[in-house]
Amino acid sequence: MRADIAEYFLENQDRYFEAILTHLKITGIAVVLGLLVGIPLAVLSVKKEKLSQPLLHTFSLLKMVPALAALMLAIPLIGTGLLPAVIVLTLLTVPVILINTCLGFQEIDSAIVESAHAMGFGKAYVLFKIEFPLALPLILTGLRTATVEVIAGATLAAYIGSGGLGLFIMTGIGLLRWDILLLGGGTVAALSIIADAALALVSRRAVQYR
Amino acid sequence: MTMDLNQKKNDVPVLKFQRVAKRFPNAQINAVNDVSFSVNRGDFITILGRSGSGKTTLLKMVNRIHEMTAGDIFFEGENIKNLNLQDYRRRVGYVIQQIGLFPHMTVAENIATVPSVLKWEKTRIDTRVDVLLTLVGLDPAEYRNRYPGKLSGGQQQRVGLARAMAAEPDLMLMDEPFGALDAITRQTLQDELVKIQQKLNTTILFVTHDIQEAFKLGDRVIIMDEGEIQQYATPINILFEPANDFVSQLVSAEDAVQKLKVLRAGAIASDLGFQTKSGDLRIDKDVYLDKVLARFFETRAEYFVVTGKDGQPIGQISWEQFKNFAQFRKDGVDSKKEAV
Repeated sequence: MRADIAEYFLENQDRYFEAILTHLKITGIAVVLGLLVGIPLAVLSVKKEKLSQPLLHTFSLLKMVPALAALMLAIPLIGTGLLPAVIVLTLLTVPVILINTCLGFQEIDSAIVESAHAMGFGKAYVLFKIEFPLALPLILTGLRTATVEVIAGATLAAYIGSGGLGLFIMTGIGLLRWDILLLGGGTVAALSIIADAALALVSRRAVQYR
Repeated sequence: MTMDLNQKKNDVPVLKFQRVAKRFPNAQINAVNDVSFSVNRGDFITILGRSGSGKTTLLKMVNRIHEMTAGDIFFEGENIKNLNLQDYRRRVGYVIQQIGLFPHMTVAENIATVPSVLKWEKTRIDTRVDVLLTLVGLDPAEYRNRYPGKLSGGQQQRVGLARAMAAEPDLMLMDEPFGALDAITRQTLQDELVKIQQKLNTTILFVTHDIQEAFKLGDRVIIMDEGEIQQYATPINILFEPANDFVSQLVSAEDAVQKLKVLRAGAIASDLGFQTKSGDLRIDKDVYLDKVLARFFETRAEYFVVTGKDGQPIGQISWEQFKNFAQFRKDGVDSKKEAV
């Protein structure tokens, strides 16, 4: 079987690397968009108590929708291809980033924030110089979970025509070819592990002061 | 004696409360009710009260962490409502029990925050950080670049104190700063704070629930209960002339030895009334009375000459007078009152 994988790999190198690139592109865009949506929403929900509960409930609910179901739902709404995949995966990353960022802010010792205000620092200074750095470890935890989830989710996105490593898995299943299936699946697994380890390293560096 | 000094400089009080009240949203009664008092430059004022007495609320209205709901507070003659909040807060140091150091910044960065925002030059900031660390008893070379999480509670609060003093504030607010420390560390820091205060002539407003601490540190003590000032006087006046039953009960719980531990020689010294001789035993006015008692026993002296800041004689304490005083008989301080 090992020979089969190698052979298939050599014959389809271009498609393989293109699939990895697409996979990473989908993941990257979805995660970045997820951060851009999730973090401001989290800050909003921490600062405006009235918004906190509705926001958190909405996104907790969203978190319960399985990735595959969400992707299928996207077809009638936004069609097929890369764009709907990115939109759906972004929506999947928001809850975990939002919730972790909220936790990160809530766990900051209120005495630290009170001290900062009492020292005459404005809201923006306190937010960017004090609160963000202190919430960073949990924001990074959220980022890490979200990234791993999206790498897995992007595999399913192949079903709605976005491309990526999911294509190899689909092809493998369709043709009952274990070699293609393993090549696709193994690469997705490897990407997940690498991403997780890399972000774990970043997280550890972020809390060196502890 | 410090009072005389203050009265000379007493152009405008550093802080003045005028009929200040605070009611929290949804509360039935005022947390602080119709409070008026003033604090002069160089005063070390302690605010003593039980939890719920309004003492912390009182303190936190000064730097507008809590907003008053009635009355006015004046800082160096200006209504604090008219001052730019951020500029004003940078002139008021703030030290709290939870310390509140920024854990992601080094000790030096923590201390440098306000000077940096005030755009001090880097060399000036660096010098200031070293001066302050030395002042609070931490070796700059060793502690500058450490993170707060790696320090003990006592060391952290030393840094907290240094940070609050960084931009040479006109007023320091301290909310039970030593409340979470062990007894030995607390005593050390109390003694050092007194020394620092005397050296820099800083104006301090210090909240505590510990009567020992309040009397030991305060030139004058504000006793709070049910949101109102019960008495605002020197420790010795509070001990001998409690303003009402509440104060009376509060101080009667303290035994004679405890009282000796919180009063200083200067407070009970009477008029000198004679020329000092070279053989006279001298004692500094800031020595606590329990130490004075010990020295009476050690030296078997009949009296001590009490000396002021520059070592000049400012009064005397005789053994007779001390004995009467230690029994908390009124005649123990009668002569002192004439002196003041």
